[in-house]
Formats: sequence, structure tokens, C-alpha cells
Amino acid sequence: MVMIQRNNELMVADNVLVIYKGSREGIVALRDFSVNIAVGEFISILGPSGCGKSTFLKLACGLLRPTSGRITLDGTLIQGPRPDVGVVFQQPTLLRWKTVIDNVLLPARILGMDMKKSRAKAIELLQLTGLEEFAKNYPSELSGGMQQRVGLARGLIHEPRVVLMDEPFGALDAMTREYMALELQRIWMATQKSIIFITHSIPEAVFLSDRIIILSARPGKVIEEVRVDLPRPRSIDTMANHIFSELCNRLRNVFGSIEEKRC
Amino acid sequence: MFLWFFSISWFNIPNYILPTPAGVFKALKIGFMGGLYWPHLSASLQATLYGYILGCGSAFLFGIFVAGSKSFEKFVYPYVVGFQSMPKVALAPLIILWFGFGISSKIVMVAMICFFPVFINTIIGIRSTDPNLLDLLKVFSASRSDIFFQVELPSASGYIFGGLQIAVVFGLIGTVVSEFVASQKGLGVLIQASSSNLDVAGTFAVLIVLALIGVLGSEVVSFIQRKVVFWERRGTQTTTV
Repeated sequence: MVMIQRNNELMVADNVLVIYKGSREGIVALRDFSVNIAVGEFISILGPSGCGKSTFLKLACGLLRPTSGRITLDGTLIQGPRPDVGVVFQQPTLLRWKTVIDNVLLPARILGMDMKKSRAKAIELLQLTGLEEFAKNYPSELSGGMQQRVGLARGLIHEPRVVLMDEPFGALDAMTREYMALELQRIWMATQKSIIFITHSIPEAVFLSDRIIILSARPGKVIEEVRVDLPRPRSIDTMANHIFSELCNRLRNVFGSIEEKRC
Repeated sequence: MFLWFFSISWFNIPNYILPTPAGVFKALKIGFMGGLYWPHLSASLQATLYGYILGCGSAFLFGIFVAGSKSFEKFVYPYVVGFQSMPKVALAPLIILWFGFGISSKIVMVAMICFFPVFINTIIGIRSTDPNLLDLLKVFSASRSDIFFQVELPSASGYIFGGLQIAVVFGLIGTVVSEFVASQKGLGVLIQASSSNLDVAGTFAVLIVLALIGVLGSEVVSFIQRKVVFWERRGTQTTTV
């Protein structure tokens, strides 16, 4: 099969199968998994627990290779960890012994990037995430939301082609989550990065994304792709919009049928 | 202090069971001013210090190797635990046989005692590194040394210092035990000498000196710990996962 890369295709997963070798037959995490992500898109991956979202994340990072099938980034196979991917985890996992700005610079230091340029970029990113005053503080002096913003800045410092976010607001309280969603939208619109956002929250997915990909329960497979045609920038008012509620309902129904199948 | 003095006069405890604070103080004064204590103090301190450095240093290095390699761990661990289970007091005569009556056997004894807490804590500390952090570094294809120095070692330092603190106290005990068995100089020797002379005040005096050294040593390690592991402060637990 010839892969023709259209110009704005960023990441393509084609018929991916991932089996974790366990003690018995092995666990099929993803099967017949295919997805296309365009440059500059904000994609959410929505699915029940255990549906393979984290597996997909590991594939995209290059920390895991598919048992069969292919996954490519910018036309080249993802065969191992690569510096054109940025990651933001659910827990900020900052280095507590380094300052905020040194934490943001960590990828740059490890990748051996030019530190002078990177430092300037780091300051820019801290300004973007509203943390410039805290550059010299230590993580323990920041709130959970602020730490996660540092994590976000860290995910962007090395100019990745795509940023993978694994339920980044999952550990935050509801109000902070809403605030962070607004912030993330702002940052995304400013940086025009491609973002793959994994979440459990339907409203969050609808609010943030251009497209939502719904995974079935294990073995994970794409059941549906939903386009979110709400105008940007979206605000809290957007959440009162009827299109918003319709989309949320539609997604809930899809989930309802997944849950029924599971039982 | 008051309780001590008071209970002696009230219960009329004879001097050979529980000395008066005054008696102990006098013994301390004579011991230090008169010059009796100093060479013994120096001998014990030297042995403790060298043994501590040897024991903790080797434990640290061994710990790093074992934490890094499952096969090495399987090979080494049972021996370490088995060795630790042997009472050092029983080994003391053997050590003296092999290393002689001088300071070397004391150093070996102290090193052996200091080894285990630092060894275990180094391993636990390194293994406690946040797996998300390790994943993050793997995404950037970080080198093994980057992973170790940037992430694993700092993560482990709190634990390692915990081990170092324990080792201070154990080490001192090791010195004294070694001196009990056979030595010519040292605080343990002083204790034995004053015990056999029924100089209880003298014994107490030396015990107090030992306790003070222990506290001092512990405080020094604590101080260094606070400077090095500056990010771990008690009572300031925010949502830093």
C-alpha cells in the first residue's frame, strides 16, 4: 500500500495493532486503529478507561512500537523516541530541585539545544503561560494549576511538531480545569501547534477540539470521529450554545452504547 | 536533670548505682581538663569518621550498581542481607584477628555497620524516581548518565541522607563495641575501665560524651542534608506529586 502524504497530514496511524505480551495470550490494547491528524489541528481522544488511549500516547511518543501496522509523523515512521514530539502528563512531574525556568529548559538541555536561544524561548513561553514572574521560583511554591502550566511550557520549548497531552487537567479541581481549558485554547491559537488531547471529559473535548476521536473499549478501535464546528475563539458562553449541548449529547449517546456493549 | 538529682537524695540511692549529677560533672571536668579523655576521644572519633566514610561511600556505590541492574541485584542482595543479619558483636573478635588490634579493625567494624542503611536507602531512593519523569526523559532519548544525574540521583538524595543519619549513630556504636572487645584507646575502653573500677560517675560521664557526639554528628548530617536536599522541607507539602 502506497502512503501518499497530503500536504497538511501530520500524524497517520494505519491499521495499528498493539498487543502487550502478558503471562497468557497477551492483552490487545489497540486493534484496527487508524487515524489521520492534520497540521495545526486540535484533536481530542475520548474513550472509556482501558480503551488504549495511553497506548496510543506511547506509540505517538515512540516509547512503544506497534505489533503490526504503521504510525508515521511527518511522513516518517515513528520507530523510537523523537524530539519532534512534546508531552504533557496528567501530573506535572516537575523537578522539585530546579527552578521553574530550569524545568522548562529541561528538554532543551537534554537535546543539546542552544541554551541562549532556548532561554529566550523559555521566557517567551513563561510569558505566554502567564508565569514570567515565577521563573525563579521552585515548583513547591506553585499551585497545581501553575505547575501544570509549567508542564505545558516544557512541552513546547523544543518546538515539537505535535504536542501530546494525557488528561493534563485531570488532577485539577473543576474551576481550575475550566480556566486551564481557556488558557490552553489561547496558547494553542498563539502557537498554532498540533495538539492531541486525551480526556475523559466530554465538555472539555467539545470545547477545545476541532475534531473528536472516540475509541471503543478494549481492544481500542476508532468508533466515530466527530467534527466540532463551533467558531473560535470559544468562551464560557460557547458552552451555552445549543450546538455545544447537541454535540455533548451525541457523544454521551455513543458512550452509552459502548458501556452497554461492555456489560 | 532536676528529677535525677532529686530522686537520688530522696531515695538515698547509693553512689555506685546512680551517681549524682555533681559527681558526673566532676568526672567530666577532671577527664577533660586533666587530659585523660582527649586521646581516647580522638581515637574513637578517628575510627568512627574513617569507618563512616568507608562504609557509606562503598554502600552508595554498591547501591547505585544494584539499583541499575536486576541481575547484579539478584547476585549481590542475598549476601548483603545475610551479612547484615550476623550480629557484629560476634564478628568483632574475627575482625580483630584479621586486622589486628589497631585502628584498622575498628574502621572495618564501623564500615560494616554503616553499610546497610545507606545501601538500602540508596536503592530505594533511586527506585522511587517518578516513572513519568523517566518516561519524559526517554522521549528525549536522554543518555543514561543524564537520567542518572539529572533525575535519579536528586530524587534519591532525601533517602540517601536518611541512611547517612542512621549510619552516624550505628557507626558510633560500632566503634564502642569494637573497643569493648579489644582496644587500647577509645571511649569504649574508658567505659570498661571505669566500670571495672566501679567508677559509675566516670562511666556515666563517658556515656554522656558519647551521646553528645552522636547528637553532634547527626546534626552535622542534618545540616548538610538541609542544604543539599533543599527542596524537601517538612510541613510544606503542597500538591507536588
